[in-house]
Amino acid sequence: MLKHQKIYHRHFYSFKTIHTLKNTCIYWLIYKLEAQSWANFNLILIFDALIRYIMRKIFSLVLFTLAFMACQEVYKIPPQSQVQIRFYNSETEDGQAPLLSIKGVNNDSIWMSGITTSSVVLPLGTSGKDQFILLIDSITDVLEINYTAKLDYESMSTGFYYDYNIQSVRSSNNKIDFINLIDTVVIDSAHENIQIFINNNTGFTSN
Amino acid sequence: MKIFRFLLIITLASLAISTKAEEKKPPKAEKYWHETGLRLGFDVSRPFQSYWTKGDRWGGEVMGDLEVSPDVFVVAEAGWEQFKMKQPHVDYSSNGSYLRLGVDYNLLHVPTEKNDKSTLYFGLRYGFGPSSQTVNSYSIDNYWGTSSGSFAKQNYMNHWGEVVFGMKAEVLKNLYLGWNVRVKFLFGQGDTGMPPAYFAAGYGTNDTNSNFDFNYTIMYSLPFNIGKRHSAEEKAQLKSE
Repeated sequence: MLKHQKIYHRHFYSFKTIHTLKNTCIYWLIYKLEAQSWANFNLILIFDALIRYIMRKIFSLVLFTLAFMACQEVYKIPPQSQVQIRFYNSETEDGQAPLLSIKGVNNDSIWMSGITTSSVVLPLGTSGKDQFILLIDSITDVLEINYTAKLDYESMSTGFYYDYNIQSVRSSNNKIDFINLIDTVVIDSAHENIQIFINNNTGFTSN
Repeated sequence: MKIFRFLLIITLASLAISTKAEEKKPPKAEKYWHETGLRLGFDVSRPFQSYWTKGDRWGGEVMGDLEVSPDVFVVAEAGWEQFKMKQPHVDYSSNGSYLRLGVDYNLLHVPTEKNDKSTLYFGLRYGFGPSSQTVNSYSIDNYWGTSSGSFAKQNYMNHWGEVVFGMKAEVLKNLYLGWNVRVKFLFGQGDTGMPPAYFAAGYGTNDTNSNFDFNYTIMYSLPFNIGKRHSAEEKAQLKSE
């Protein structure tokens, strides 16, 4: 046995407690390199240190992997295509922000309650015609939207949703003076579809 | 910790001592055949893909490679996969089979006398195969209520490309263990109308433009010499004669 091989063997057997995997790897490396030169001996030592470092880091790696896998099964909510309505003053034709409450006809849920805003988005169903009761600055109007619905798809991990094409819009004329349908296409990215021009009536009579 | 320091010091010292010795680098290897015959194997990671991918995905894959010139291997990989995903709004299932064809180029060049058959390789693949999908049910919730439906089975073809990097090491005579990582790019999927094709067997889901994957393979080199090739050992022996 050569001198450096003796040194190596003494060194090697003093680490019996080190993990079997590491030893297996070192044995493999000895076999490969045949420990015939000092250069190879250095390689073995570097490899030895490297394996020890990896063994230490492997625990945090396992934790990270588990955390990553736990995040995999989170699914996004499917998008929704909604009609965007913007309010304007019928006299000045400037944007206006009235106090709004909205509820669907034949629907028990209130869509919006007492919010001051210049624009609002409304959900459509699949029936082809939806009606909404709009309370605009305490004056009630009914808005009717006729449409066709088309099934659309985001992703299997997200889900399906409907896109719409508005056929017609009409309303009562208490607070609303007139309506402009400016874009009939309703897709998941909201953009202005309908302009509602409202008058300055307050709903209160003065003595 | 002490042991580590001791090793580090010894390593550095030995490196310093052996610098002169290392000046004489071993001669560059002549290119030689790593494999004299066909190598066949299977992927042990395919049944466990659910652990790192979305949904319930599993399958099987077999592969073979043949060295057509020193360091260049032609590779064929064939498999099948099943994919199921049940989330709050969609119950989806898909399955299919695939074939990948390509080449690997070995980046390791070692002295011929070592007869080292291990390879560190870079490769390219073209993958294709038929898949089918079924949306068992879907639901859409909004202010006006919930609507639901389903889609019947749809069949389609998938085409994609892959860039592969990995290694194969001979652990026992003619028996190889190997791993590789690969990035996949979808070239196209058949037009199915609504809903569009989502899962491609061998590729994965098309949520993103590219997919990463990992394989762990066990391969056996058939002990038949195709075309009277000389392994490194034989070559060295012939040279010495």
